[in-house]
Amino acid sequence: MRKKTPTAQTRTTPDTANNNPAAGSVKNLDAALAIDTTPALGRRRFLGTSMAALGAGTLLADLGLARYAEAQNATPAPAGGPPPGLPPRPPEPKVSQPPPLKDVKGKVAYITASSDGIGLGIARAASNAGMIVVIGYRNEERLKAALPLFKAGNPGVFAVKHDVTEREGWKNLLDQVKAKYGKLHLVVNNAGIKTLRQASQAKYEEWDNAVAVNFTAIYNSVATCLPHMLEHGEGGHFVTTASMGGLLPGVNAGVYTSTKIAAVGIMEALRVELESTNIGTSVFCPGGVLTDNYIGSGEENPYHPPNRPNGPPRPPGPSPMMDPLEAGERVINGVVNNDLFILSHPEFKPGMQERFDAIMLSTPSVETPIPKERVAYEKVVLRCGIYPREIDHRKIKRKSYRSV
Amino acid sequence: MFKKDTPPLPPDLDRFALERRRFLSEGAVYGVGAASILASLGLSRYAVAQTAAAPAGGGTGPAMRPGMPPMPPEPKVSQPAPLHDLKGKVAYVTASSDGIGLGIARAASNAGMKVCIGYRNEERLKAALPLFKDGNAGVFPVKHDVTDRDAWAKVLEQIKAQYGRLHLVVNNAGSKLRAQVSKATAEDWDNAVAVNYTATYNSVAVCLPHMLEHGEGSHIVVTSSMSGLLPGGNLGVYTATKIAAVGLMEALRVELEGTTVGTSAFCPGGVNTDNYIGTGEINPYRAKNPPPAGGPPRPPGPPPGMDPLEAGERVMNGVINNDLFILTHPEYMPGTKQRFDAILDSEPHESFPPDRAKMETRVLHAGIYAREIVHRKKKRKSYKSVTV
Repeated sequence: MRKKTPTAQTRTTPDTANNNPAAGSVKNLDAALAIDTTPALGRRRFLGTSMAALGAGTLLADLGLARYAEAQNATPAPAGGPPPGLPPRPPEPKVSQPPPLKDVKGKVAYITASSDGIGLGIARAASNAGMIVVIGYRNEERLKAALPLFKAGNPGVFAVKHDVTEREGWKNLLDQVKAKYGKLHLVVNNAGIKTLRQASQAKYEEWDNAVAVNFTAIYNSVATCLPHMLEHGEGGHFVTTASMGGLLPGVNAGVYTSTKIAAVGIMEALRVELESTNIGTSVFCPGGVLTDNYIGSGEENPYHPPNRPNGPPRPPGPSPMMDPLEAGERVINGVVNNDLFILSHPEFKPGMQERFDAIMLSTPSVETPIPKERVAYEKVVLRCGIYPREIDHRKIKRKSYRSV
Repeated sequence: MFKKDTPPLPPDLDRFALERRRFLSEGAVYGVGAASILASLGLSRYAVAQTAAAPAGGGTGPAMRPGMPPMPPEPKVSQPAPLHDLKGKVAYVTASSDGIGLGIARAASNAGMKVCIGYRNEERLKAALPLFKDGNAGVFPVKHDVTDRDAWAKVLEQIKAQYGRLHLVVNNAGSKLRAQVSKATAEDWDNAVAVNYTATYNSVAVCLPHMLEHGEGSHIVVTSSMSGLLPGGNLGVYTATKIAAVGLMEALRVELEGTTVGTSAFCPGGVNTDNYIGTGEINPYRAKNPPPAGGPPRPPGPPPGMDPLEAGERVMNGVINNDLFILTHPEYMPGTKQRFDAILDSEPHESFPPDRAKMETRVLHAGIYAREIVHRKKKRKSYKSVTV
């Protein structure tokens, strides 16, 4: 009798495991695992060494993770409480959070550091989408150059001088916006330090400054603006401009990449906390965007002199990097859809996949069985509902970012 | 359908079939020429696009943005473990009079290292010291607040005076503050950032020059958490700072891969930290002292988490192997995978200008991960083998 290899068999039925997660018995494990529905090596290693026949598979299935780790054992989940003293989890919604700021028209947006660069692109896109825009700036000259770029027919533009690391400054800002427009709906934490220092060589003040601007300023914005947004109840949204460096730290500039990874993490943590409210959260991770010399649609930035005194020489023509106005439109589109991750540069995907694979492959081999009680004890943190909901959310058809 | 020069992968390496199938079914996701850029980065395994050959002449395209710092030399193989032999080397473990830190310090001591114990509470230290075996190499306690930069310099001086050199720093001190970002006070936030994130930078700023100077293999570890990879708890201040700590170790690996200093992020799940020390014994300090008022009640028996001594042995094993990620709790990995999938699914399904990808070439992948994947495929000894 010809022995059929499991791989040969499964190649022809690629979707069995996905459709029927409970079908696997230990006998069929090899066949089930050779299916390429998810990166199979990680899963095989994971299942083969740990979950199979331990009973923990049932627990994972309870958590909705069956797609990732098929249940191998019908033993009911053991009783066991989460660690005492943990704060209660917010109620777990069945569907992803509906976009709190679905209709941006007439709403008020505050974009930090938006007199130039990506911030200016976001502010212009918000203005073009019908929002009232508050521009955070520090340099008067840049602001003067930026203001004429907003179309005359658009709703109001209001500029506030603001250093995002100052907590008092945030309070003043909110008071000014409230006095002028009554309410604030969207905060884009766009101010960032582009320091190209290595973490292993940075001076104390360089590190502290980067952490204050790229990480703690986000906390400052939430501490100040969130209570106001919850109070007016019309829906609100927080966005942070991180970077692809926050998902793929490949550059030799650790101060930048590690603070950007931190910025991504805080927005994910905020999504967990705020998912049941009408406040949305997004993190924008762009790759190359034209920031220094050009503003939206390829026009030259009127502020930037041809060659900055200490800067790199200016390239002769427009570069192939993304236009800041397009980046801004993608951000506003992400807000309208309440995307947790607003990504704009698909060329980074293979590199990110590589990073995630390196982490998945670091899963330890199990030398002694995982105690079921431990899994029950950790149950509260073994999964994070925001991600499966985000995966579902991403499957919904959507309009082009240009529609905003 | 595939490019002819892409050989089929053996089934166990063909991890990206789903992804590739999606690319293919949606048409040319990666534009003409872009695929060859990814291929030149060694990423063709991840993105096999249906595309014509690269433009004739290979069009060099625009150069990288000027003014960027040079990348360190890209090694062909993963960094050889700088601290593969622990015996007689000197370890400093912050906050190691209790909890996971004590487990790490004991495992280091059992592996033949001289161990410096960072502590803040004398009572805890007194209870911890008898747990180190008599025949082990020396134990040297130093009182230390990790947020104090001057104190870091002083601690290094003390260690140098006592043992001459320092080889391993484990940034284990952490704030377990159970606050949400959306509700935390400014003081809570600043403290958590200082302890969980900036303290690790402090250790690098102070100890790295010494490690590079003595030139013997050295290593820097941070105790993060599975929350640093899967922010599932409703504790935003904790998770955001732990994610930051993991990111810092990855960034440092990029920077230090060509040196004699290794880096690891330790991300444990449930470990018995409050009442039990290694091997299920009751923590003598906790046995004497009632739980703090207002805190959670102490459970009657050992909880089912991992023993801290085992966690410590796994950390030492990670150091010996120079693992970038020291993971100990496989039950978290399906949830982590889900997070990664959500991120990857967020990439727009569009083509991109190949010239843009050329300018971004140096950041489109980070060689540390490709090398870590190769490193992880090697056979290795059990973590239990670290004890001598």
